[in-house]
Amino acid sequence: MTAIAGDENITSVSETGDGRYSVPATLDLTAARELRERLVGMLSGNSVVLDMSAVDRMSTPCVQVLLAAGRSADAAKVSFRIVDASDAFRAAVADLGLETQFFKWVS
Amino acid sequence: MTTQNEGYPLEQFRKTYFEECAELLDALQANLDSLSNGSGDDDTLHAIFRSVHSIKGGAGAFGFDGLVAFSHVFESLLDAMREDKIPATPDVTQLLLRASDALGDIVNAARADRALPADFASDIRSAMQEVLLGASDEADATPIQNETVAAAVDVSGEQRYRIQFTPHSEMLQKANEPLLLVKQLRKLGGLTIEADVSKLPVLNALEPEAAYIGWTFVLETGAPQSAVHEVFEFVEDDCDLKIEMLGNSAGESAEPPPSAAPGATAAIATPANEPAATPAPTPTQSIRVDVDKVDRLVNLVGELVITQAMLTEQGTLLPVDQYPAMLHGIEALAQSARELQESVMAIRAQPVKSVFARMPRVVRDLAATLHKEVRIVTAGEMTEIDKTVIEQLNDPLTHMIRNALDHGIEGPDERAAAGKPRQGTIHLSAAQRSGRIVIEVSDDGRGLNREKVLAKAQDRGLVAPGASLTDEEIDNLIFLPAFSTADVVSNISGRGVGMDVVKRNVQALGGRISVQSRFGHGSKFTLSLPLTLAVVDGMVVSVGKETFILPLTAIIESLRPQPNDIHPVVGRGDVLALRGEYLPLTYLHRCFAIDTLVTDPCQGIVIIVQRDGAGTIGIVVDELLGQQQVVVKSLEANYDAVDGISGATILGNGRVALILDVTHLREIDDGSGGNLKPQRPAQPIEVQEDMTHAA
Repeated sequence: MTAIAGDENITSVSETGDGRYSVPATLDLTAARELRERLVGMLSGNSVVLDMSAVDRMSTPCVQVLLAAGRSADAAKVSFRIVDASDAFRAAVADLGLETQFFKWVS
Repeated sequence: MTTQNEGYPLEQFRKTYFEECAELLDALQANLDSLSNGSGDDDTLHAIFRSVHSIKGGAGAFGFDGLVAFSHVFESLLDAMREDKIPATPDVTQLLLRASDALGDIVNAARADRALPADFASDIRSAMQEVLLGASDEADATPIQNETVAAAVDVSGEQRYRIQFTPHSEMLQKANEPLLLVKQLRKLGGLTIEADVSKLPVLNALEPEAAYIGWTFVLETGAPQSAVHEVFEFVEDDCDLKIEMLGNSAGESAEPPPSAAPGATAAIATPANEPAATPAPTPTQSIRVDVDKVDRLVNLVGELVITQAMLTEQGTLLPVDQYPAMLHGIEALAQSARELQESVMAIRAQPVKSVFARMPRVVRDLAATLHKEVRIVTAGEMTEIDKTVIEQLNDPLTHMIRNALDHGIEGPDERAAAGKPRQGTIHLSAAQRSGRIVIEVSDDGRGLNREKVLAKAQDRGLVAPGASLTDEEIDNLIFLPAFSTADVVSNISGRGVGMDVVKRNVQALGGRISVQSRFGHGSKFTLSLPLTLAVVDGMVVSVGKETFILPLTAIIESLRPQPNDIHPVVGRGDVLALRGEYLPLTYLHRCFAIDTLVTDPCQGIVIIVQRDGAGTIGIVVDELLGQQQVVVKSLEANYDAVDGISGATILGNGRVALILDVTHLREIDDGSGGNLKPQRPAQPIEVQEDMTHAA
């Protein structure tokens, strides 16, 4: 069974000076608030790099958070990139019809 | 008790909803047990679905969002199983059982207005969603002709639908996941998706669990429109949904939705303003009556019985030849009153199933904690017993089951080494025997190690060194307070608060508990309980000017001893020599500091009583006044708890008589009068009027 996103996952992430964040494996409903808080904090920096390689569970609330974060970053002229997007992340974005919105951030 | 809010219809509905929930959860548990042990069939799965669906329906009406969210995922999984998309593998069945347990907790929390942690049961919910997602990711490998899947590959007469789907803000909080809906739509055919993100706020203003995005889907499918509707069945109340046909109308298939269960309500989401009706599998003539009303009826019947007893007593004073009709009437009244009482008691009687049904969960949870393999087999669940007894049965039973798991059943490896099956078995059964209910809890574990029990008891000073005890006496040592044989103090047991508490609980119910054990083969605990606590058959005895009731079930015999049968024992009071045994004597007048001329047992009567698990004693009273069925009134509710007294009653002559708790009489036989004041409460009339609450 996949681990549930919780404090133990969130606090295990590495966050380097350039605002890189290794996103935890499980981005379900319960992970959305935590993800939002972290991204709000990161948007005060110069750049945001989200490593999505580990993500294997996605949910609509987390997709919304990521989309809002990307749009807020664009508005604030903060670099926003999603790297190593996992299949689970790509599939969720496609299923929700949001590929166009995420296209510019995913590399 | 009438609650303050009872007059409000909504409060009444809420109460009814939770009553239904309790029944639905019982049915859910029973059907899941059938499913897990392989005795279930398709109808079992439908019944399970209906239980969860009904709980969810009502929860929506009362705004229990957490309950709706959890039961929705649960229901979705069950629905997929009904459609053969997900097989009932042991893992899935276990997940369903865990989900059912969690659902029960969520219902109980909602009932008590208790907030649960935000992530409560989120692991179970996620596991269910994973199973669901896994199923929807798989190719249509199911050989069974599933109508929905079949429709997806039936490309003749394809139809295009435009679906405008705008979730309400709170939809996601209820664990409704649009990703799952999309997956279900994709199964029906080709899908194009367009998202409307115009309402999505900036990150700082975003509420993480609120829904902001809406979608327009265009679906090309050969499936009927009902199949499209069905995808959104469980979210219809939480979204704005518009499904319209594009192009040529191919005509809607008239076939019923594939998931509609035989006899189930149409598969349409229950409107949020009306709780879902509970589908009754078998039409039984029954009405739902508030328990308070039944209790009031029981009390009234109790009063009637008391009045009838008084009339009967007065009737004995009448000359038979002058008042034959009156006496005949009194006899007929006595007969009717007894029948009426039995009928009312039958109304309050419930099957023990409601308590038994909770035990599989206790076993599951604890077995997982202890890493043991244990199954529970129940029998006689339909045995009926008074509601008040049932309510108080849960704790002792749970404790006994936990005890059997913790101390009795060995670990799988130890069992295998002993030549036993790796999986231990606990048998839980109930049966009526001679006016009492007998509940047995047996296990095939290691049994009691008498040497260890005796050594432990001697270490703790509970048994004098060198004392010779029978096997039965050694076994019964485990019921002594602060006795424990657990090598390790765990959070389960082993603190020495265990079987003594069980014993006290059982005795408080007027019951007895005993244990039989064979070392290496297991133990069997037997509980014997009265069928009702409201009425007891008692022996009326007098001491000085006072009258007491001794429960008939405890009495073995009564006799007037000879002087040479009484022997004083230093430090232990007097004992009565009876057929080679020595029974300690308890003087009732000393227990309650009553003035009486009869202080010599040879002048009075000795009643031999069986104390639950504590051997027999002789109780010395002045005289026996006769046998009578008495209506028990709670002493705690009307006066205060009194040591050695289990309740009170009102006799035919209108006087209050106390009912003795024979098990604890010995402990207060020190002449101090226990905590009973030498004078009874000073307003007997008031007591009589106040005592309207049957125990």
